[in-house]
Amino acid sequence: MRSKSHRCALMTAVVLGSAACQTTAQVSVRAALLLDDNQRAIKAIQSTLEAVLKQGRVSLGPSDLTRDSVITVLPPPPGPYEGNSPAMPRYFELVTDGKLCFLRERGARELHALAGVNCRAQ
Amino acid sequence: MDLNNRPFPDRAGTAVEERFWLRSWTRETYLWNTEVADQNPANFTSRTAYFAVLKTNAVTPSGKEKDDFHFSESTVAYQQRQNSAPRATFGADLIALSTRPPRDYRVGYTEPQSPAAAITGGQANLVRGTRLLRVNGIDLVNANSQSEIDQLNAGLFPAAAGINTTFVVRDPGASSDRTITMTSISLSPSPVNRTRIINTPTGKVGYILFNTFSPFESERAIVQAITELRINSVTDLVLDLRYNGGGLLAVSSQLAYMIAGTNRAAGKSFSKLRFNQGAGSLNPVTGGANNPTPFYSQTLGFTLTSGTDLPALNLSRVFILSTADTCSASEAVINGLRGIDLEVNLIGSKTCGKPYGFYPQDNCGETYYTIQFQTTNDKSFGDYADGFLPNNSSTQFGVRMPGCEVADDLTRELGDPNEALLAAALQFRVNGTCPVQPAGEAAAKMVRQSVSGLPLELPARSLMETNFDMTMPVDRSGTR
Repeated sequence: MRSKSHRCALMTAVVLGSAACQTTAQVSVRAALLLDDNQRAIKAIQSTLEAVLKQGRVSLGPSDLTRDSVITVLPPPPGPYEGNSPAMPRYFELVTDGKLCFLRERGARELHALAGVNCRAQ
Repeated sequence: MDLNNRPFPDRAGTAVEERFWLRSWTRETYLWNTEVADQNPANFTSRTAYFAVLKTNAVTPSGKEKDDFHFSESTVAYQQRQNSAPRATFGADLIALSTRPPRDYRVGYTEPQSPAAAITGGQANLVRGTRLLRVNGIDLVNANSQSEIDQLNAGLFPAAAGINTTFVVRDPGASSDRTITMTSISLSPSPVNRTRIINTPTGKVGYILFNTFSPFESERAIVQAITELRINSVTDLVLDLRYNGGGLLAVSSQLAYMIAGTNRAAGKSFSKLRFNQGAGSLNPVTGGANNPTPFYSQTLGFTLTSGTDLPALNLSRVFILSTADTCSASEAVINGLRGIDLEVNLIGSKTCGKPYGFYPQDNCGETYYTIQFQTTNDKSFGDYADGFLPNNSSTQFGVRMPGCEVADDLTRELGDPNEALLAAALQFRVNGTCPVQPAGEAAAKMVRQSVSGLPLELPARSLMETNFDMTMPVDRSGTR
């Protein structure tokens, strides 16, 4: 799984200049869970999200990805004068095609491959 | 790269190009874009001077400026506040009844687990209404040199944790002074300061002092508070928003849902954002669809794992305590619940009147705030720029609603059933009548400002405290 993800990320990096592997191909995927909630996996997810969202840093909301597949990306905190702040988290789901692990934003089709992350179908 | 380690998306241009950008941005996103007189950017010498004229000059029915939220600041300052860590503090919210000699600074409330709330010699260091008289030996009431003002500021607002400061204070109703010494700590204010279950002959009444919707922590705090009230089977709720200046609209939607419950809120909109007419069905800032905000019935993931059903009190009415500091997302709770015909009773004084919002926008190191949307409820009502006020208020302008006009009461702790606003809510709940307003200390806010002498200003609160907006001057005398 890891080697394929690396290959996918490498190919995309060459084509798109991005570290995140994105595909809209008709891949059948299912919600997935991390095999273990280790810091390396979380870091890989954060790095992928930073590339997808083009942000230098993303903050994740609370979650246990060994039990739930939803990943919450927090918005920037409201500024001091934002009394009516419409800020909302963005939601991604951890999914798998049985071989690779991907992130998919809620309501979107694009899959973003996760390098170095082990997961299983939920 | 900016302070958040994000690359700047734009490239440097000329100063006049920056002013042209402001002109275009205003045309595209400003709520009242058709009311802005088009002026040539080349005729202005600075971006801030040009930005200052990119607003409407219309007034509300009361005569106040329709747009008094138009301003900018350096992006560095904006981001520093966004990223601010807990600040050094003694944990006392101060109210300035007079910032000039003879000054009158009182404690509005204390933070839980703070030095101010700590018990020393069987007594809390500070309580609501305690008046500050001396700070590190400096006479706070009468000092009138810049050196003394600087020392007072340094004592009141410590630069770091671990700083000892000595205060001479007088508690409400006391005839003598006390001397206390407190050591500053790093502390983030609690969104929910306290909850109470009040037993009455007609059932249990829940009370929540909710001070800010701003930090992500506000989601967890208000869910925990409502859960506690639900476990105790309260049949009514007094929601104390008197010092709550707003913050996250999403959390205000969650709170409104937890008050109303599924039967009343399902399928209804908590708020709808109204942009300028040119935007059509789109949000002109994000470019996305301008979809209404529902009454969120689940956790959203700010500080609680997303997707869990929220507890609900399923109430048909609520009693909200208010002052002029009740702003923005707090007012959205009032308006959102009125939009689904839930009975909202207002006890206190007129709210600040801010149905508007914006997305702060950085350009070339300056962050601009321009009104881009108005929040409206399920009935598409959002015209409360002159605030909400109780029916019996003598104030001419504002949206009237059931309730009682009552002056803020600094003589009793918040959550004390005898505190004037809470007592009025409990009375109004029973028989729909309002108390006769007591004279004296309860009307301490009526103290007139001196006009001479050096002012001692309260600093603007940090991000992690109650949000302020530009209608509220740094000197909050008389606004509570």
